[in-house]
Amino acid sequence: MNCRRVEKLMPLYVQGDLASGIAERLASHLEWCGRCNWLADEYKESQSWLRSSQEPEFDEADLHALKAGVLSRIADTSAKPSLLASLAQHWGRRQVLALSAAMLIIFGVLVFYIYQASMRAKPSVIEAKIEPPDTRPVQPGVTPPEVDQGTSKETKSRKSSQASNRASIKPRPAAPMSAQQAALSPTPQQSLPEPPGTNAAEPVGEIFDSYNSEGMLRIELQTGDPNIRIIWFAPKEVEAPKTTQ
Amino acid sequence: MPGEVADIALMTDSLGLRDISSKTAALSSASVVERAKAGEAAAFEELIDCYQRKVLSTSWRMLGNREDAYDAAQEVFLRVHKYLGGFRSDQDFAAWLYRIVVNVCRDHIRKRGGHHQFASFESEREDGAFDALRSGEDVEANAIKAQQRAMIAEALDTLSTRERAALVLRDLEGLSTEEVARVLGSSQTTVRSQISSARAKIKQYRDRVMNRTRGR
Repeated sequence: MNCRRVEKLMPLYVQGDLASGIAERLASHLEWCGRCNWLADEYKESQSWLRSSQEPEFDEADLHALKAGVLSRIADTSAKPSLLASLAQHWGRRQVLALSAAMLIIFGVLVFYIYQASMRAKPSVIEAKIEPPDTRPVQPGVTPPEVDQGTSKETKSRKSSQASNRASIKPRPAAPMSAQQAALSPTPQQSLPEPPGTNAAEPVGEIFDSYNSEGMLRIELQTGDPNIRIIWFAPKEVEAPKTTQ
Repeated sequence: MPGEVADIALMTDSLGLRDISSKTAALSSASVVERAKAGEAAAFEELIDCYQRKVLSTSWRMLGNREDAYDAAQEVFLRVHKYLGGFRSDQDFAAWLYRIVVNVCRDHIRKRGGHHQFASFESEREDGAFDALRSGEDVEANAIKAQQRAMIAEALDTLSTRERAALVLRDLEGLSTEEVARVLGSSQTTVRSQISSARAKIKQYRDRVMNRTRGR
């Protein structure tokens, strides 16, 4: 064992914190090495100096005050125990765990029930309410009216709220009614469906716009949800009756 | 009988029968702990009587000043009361208590921003440490004691919190390396390393002080 190693181990050697084998080797080194022997003496002196530190004296009055302070604080805290503390006092850890698990299950069932109830309240299928088409003849030089012109006030107010959504869908000139449209739309004598919202069971929605573009008929249906619009393209051949005129 | 355990400990210390009677004291302490655990207020008071000096002195050595040591000791006994229900009978109560003391002191040091606040000789005098002294000899002897205590406190201030805890428990409280490792929740190798480093720092500090004194 060299002096460098002894120097490293010396702080542990002086208080007997080394394993016996290493301590013996170190002791045999100290027998002939004066420098390390001197280091060992210094460490021993340092340790005895540290231990010479006497504890500060705590008189009986201080100790009594400490005890009284602790007991009064305990009395304060035990006077109003929390719910968890009182549970923990009377119940074991397993019982508390079982209770929390049961509460978690009940909470989960409640959340599931509320979710199911809210899903049941919503209509599963959004049906379209078809508005009667404007059958008035188009006068030359006059801008054709919008398809949904003349609908209820409610529709108008909804339209204003949906102005941003409709910005990209400008009203186009109403095309002559196709055969399919004619078949779908009720005659003026037929009773028109009531405006949406009057009856909860009624379908929500309306024909929003329609036009004939390059032989395809486009029908837009605005659903009750302002974010959902159904666009339907009909094939061209349904316009056959127009060519026969 | 309040103070029963404390009395036994004091008697054994004074008669030098520590080894023989330590088992008796331990058994008695265990029964007091069990009674306190069952919620007996008198038993808890006995526990305070028995351990408050130990808790105070360890806290003082860890924190370096009297005021913080009192605060820490109060907090220690509050925690003992709070967590005594979770104390297992097969555990060593003293080791469990030391662990709480170390944790409370660490929390105190953390709250102060990691700095120890050691009482200087002047602050001890201001605190009234010499008020009870009567004769001139007492005053001189106690002044020397207080000065030495302040120097040792400064030496301990050079250590990190972990080194300090390990050194206080091993060298000043007299616990074995194994017990210190158990209290601090670390391995014996780590504790040995901390103790070695702490002893070297203390020696360095003492050397500096001695050289300064010789130079005057």
